[in-house]
Amino acid sequence: MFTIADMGSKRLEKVLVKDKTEDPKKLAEIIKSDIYILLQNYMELKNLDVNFDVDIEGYTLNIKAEAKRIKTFGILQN
Amino acid sequence: MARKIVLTSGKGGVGKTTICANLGVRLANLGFRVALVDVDIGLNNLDVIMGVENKVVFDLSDVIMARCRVKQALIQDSRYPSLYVLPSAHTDVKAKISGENIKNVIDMMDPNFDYILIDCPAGVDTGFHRAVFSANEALVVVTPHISSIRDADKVLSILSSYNLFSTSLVVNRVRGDLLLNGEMISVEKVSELLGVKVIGVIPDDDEVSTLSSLGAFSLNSAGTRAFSLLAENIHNGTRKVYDCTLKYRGFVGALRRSIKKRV
Repeated sequence: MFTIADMGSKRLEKVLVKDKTEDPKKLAEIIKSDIYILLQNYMELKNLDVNFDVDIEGYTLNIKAEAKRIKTFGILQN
Repeated sequence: MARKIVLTSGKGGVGKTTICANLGVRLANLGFRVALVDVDIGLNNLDVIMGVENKVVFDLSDVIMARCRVKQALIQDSRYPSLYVLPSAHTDVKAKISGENIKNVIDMMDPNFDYILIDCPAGVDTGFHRAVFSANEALVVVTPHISSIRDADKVLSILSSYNLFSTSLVVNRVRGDLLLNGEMISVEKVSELLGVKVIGVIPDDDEVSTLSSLGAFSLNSAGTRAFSLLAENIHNGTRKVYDCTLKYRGFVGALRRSIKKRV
């Protein structure tokens, strides 16, 4: 049975998601700068695209990184 | 070293100050040295809830402005000798007080207490940051209502940028009858929506609100038992929460629910 509490919860879920979708581009920029630093340990980056989408189903992060050169793996620890 | 816990919520009127006072009493009752610090400058109420408003000589702003020492501003509770209140200024001196100033005062108090509970103002502006700056743990007070949960979500996002040791939820004003009737968002759902674990559940107890008007505390009510569990959880790191639905279960419970609904 669908109760008033269930209806309230569903409504609230949507509100909380909506609050977070207000500025996904800004969030994507922040994530991008962090990922850029991380990936630079492994490769010389040519291009990095980060898209962050939020909908009621959840959060999707798409990252596309193009590298000019992969750094030598021999020096990386397992 | 004292544990410095800020009680915050985002939304006003959810019971931060009442929980701060009652939690302080319960911790003091367990034998700990507790200080309650009112950082809600200009809209302070902790002194009234604690029933010490007539004993205030100096306040937090006096300590910061070096007009007195911390010891002179702290008010000892006559009922619980290990419980102290540091009241806040009732006049607007906010502009002159920074988070750093408050942190200095709290650091001065540190060696003399086991717990320092910081009562944070509502909202997420300067007052909020000033209060959180001195803390190393946070209790986010929330009621099972949409507006309160939404504001708590925003507060939790901001708190994540602070280097806090732990952040937990206290769900206040929970009504067992409404929970069983499916008319109130459950504590589990609140925790799931906010992604934070619940450390305390406080029932909507008339006795707690009635006695707070008198600056007194109940010794044997549902609220008292819930606050005792909260205090034990905080100290022991456990997560035993009060079951608000207990008295509304079974035949007698159903009768209670039915009467409450009609009234």
